Amino acid sequence: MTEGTGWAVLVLPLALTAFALLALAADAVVEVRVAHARRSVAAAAADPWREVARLLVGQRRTTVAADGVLWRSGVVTVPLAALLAALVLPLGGFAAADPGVGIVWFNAMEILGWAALWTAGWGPNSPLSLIGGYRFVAQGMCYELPHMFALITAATGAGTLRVGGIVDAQAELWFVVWMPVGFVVYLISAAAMAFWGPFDAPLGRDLSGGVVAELSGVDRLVLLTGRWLLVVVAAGMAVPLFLGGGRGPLLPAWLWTLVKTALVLTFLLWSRRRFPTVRMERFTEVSWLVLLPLTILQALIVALVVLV
Amino acid sequence: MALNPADADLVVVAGPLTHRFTEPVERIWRQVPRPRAFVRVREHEVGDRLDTASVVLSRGGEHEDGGGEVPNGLVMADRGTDRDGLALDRLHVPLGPLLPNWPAGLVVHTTLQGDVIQHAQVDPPDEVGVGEDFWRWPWWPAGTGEEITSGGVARIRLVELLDALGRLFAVAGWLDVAVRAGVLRDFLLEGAESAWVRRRLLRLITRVRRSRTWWWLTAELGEHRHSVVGDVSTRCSAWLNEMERIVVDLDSTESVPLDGLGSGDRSVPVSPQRVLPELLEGTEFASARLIVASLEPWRSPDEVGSPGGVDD
Repeated sequence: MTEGTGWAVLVLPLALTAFALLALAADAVVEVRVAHARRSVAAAAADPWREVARLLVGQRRTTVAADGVLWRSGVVTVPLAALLAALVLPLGGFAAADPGVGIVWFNAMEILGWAALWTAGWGPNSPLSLIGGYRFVAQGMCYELPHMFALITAATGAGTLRVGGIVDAQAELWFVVWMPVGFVVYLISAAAMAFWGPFDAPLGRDLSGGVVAELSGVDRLVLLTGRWLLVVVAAGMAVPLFLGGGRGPLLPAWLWTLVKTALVLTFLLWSRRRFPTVRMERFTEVSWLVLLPLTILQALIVALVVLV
Repeated sequence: MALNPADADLVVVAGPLTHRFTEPVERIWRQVPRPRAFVRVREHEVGDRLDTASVVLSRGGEHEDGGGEVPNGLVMADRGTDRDGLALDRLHVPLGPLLPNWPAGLVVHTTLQGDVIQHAQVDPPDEVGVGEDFWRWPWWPAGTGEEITSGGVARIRLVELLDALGRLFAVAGWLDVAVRAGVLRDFLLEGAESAWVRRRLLRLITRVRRSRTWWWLTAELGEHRHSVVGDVSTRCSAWLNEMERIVVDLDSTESVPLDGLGSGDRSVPVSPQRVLPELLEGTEFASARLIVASLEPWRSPDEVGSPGGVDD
């Protein structure tokens, strides 16, 4: 795998943002159809741009007795965590970095997102925002253990924590084929780590927006962009972990990576519309009593196959 | 529509601004970031007013100086033992009267520890119920000697149920279905063709019924032995059953005798204040919102289980 800093600084943020904008536009078009709005598809596809412009000119607001430092640093850390996690994301044969502990790095940056959302929720001194922060911590407790076992299973199958190595290990057989449980759990946790889809309680409508309830203008733009970046990165990581990386017939590797990422992203967009928000009060039971044992079993089977 | 003042550009007050809402609306306006605009509309002028507002906004908005910081109704936290006997911070947070997908005018004063509601108290409702006039509209012609048809009655009841369901789904974060319910409600109000409505409505009902996630998430929520029937999921199910039953009446031109409108006497909005505190205490915030949304705000709790309600 080729590494490059120029890649990291220039191409990666742009590529991720472009991908997120495309997904946003697609989602806006679907929304118009659902809402039976009398608008053209082109107008709907331009919605994300209009929203960006609106937030850029909007006034930044503050609240009474807010903890400004915590609040703003939490907001900025959301996109930062997404970009840092994306450093180990390979596009075809290239990656910004391919360290020997790539998987651990990805996992650590995603946990940085917990801290980010928690402080962003705590900062404005507003009850609804604070509850949003609480919710994400509870969510982390639920999804993280099965998620880690899913990551470990892929690493065990390849015998390395290096993302490039995991892609190489799938030359003959994609991991999704013999680690289906790991893959499914990864998809669930991908939504959960980006507080996305059915796991969007931290930004819930019942909380009038939760963590983003008090955010306006550019602050709001930064956090919401960070969330879209997190979704794209989480979807993108499924490709090297379980879907054979850039492998595929005819098309070049980078294109295959994009196609596969788009498919995973489409699934995440679909599941957000398909399911109501899952409350952790109910999901904990499923997560700890069903998903966790299943992922451990999956890891055990993979370990035995690798040993024998 | 914005979920919070922070995300809003435009504050629209539709209809009369009663005493109860003056202060909350002012508070919301002060929290809206600039550029912003404030509009008051009465019936039949919605389109014009909104066009004016969008012009104002495009010119940089109305720079009205609200002056100073917003007291956001947040009392300093104190301490108290929680359900596990731990001393935790207590926040006193009023919910309502203006909250998205919340019965307009309802105010519940809550004491929160974390996201658990330890104590809830409901404000007495205004003497004139909010929304009361609107929901009485199939009976408007009653005084004028015009005929009331059972099709018209079915239509308004469907609108009412779709409104309630839309609120419930929105609070549950099931936006796709909430939007679909809202679209159907609006088309019904505009007088859409009943065959089209029926087809869409039945599709919606089927989708909700088939969602195992939905029933799993709402089961055993908001149960009360005496005052209300079932839990959130059975109340939702009752609404679906009722819609399915009355949607066939949409075309009916059969006239409804005036004395048959006893059950339609909604002039006295019976507040949910008697049951709500008991139902809400000890629940988590998300569950509490679902419980509130599963009760029809302007029907009495005793009515919830009556023929309009549960259908076995």
